[in-house]
Amino acid sequence: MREYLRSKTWVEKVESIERMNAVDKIAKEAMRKALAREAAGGGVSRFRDAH
Amino acid sequence: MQSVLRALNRLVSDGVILSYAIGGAIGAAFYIEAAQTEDVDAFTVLPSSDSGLVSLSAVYEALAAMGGVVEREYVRFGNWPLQILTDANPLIAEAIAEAVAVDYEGTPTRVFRAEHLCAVALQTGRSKDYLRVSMFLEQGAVDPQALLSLAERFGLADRMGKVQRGES
Repeated sequence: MREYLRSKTWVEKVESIERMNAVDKIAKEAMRKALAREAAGGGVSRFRDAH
Repeated sequence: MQSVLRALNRLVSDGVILSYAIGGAIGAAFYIEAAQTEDVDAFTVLPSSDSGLVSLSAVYEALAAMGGVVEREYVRFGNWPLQILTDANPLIAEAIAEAVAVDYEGTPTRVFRAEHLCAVALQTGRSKDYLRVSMFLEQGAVDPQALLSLAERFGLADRMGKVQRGES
């Protein structure tokens, strides 16, 4: 862990946070679209089908 | 990130703020493993006003004139919402005054010292703040004795004890 931390600069760590945020944004948008489809009756919910 | 830092530096050079330092998760990433955050926390010292009241409106106006987009309490530059905070208490005032000058890809800026990042996190006192202090300690990124001394000076020794005992 220490080696890993030493090997990453502040800039690299901030860029990795930016990438995490970008992935998070894509995941949230995909979830929003899936829920919208579900609400419109056009999707299939695994949760609903499981019960 | 560079556009955020350039904007902050320009606030100083234009006299809109007297000084600033980066704290929060972005400041912490200077010392420890990166943790996800959606904004940049800049702690600022504002010029004193005649009324004695603190107003951030001049800061927001200046940032907007530099191309920042005001969104609720943030000003967005590119991917990064910037939150402007003030030297609201003696601990934060000391943290800004003693911040270290660093460089972000050629752009000069200032970051809280590790001890101050931890003490401000203890003062803020949310679960994620205690976790950050634990990470500093576990990763050997802060001198525990120096942090304890700071915590005692600002009435945070109990909270520091909780983190050290794993009770937070």
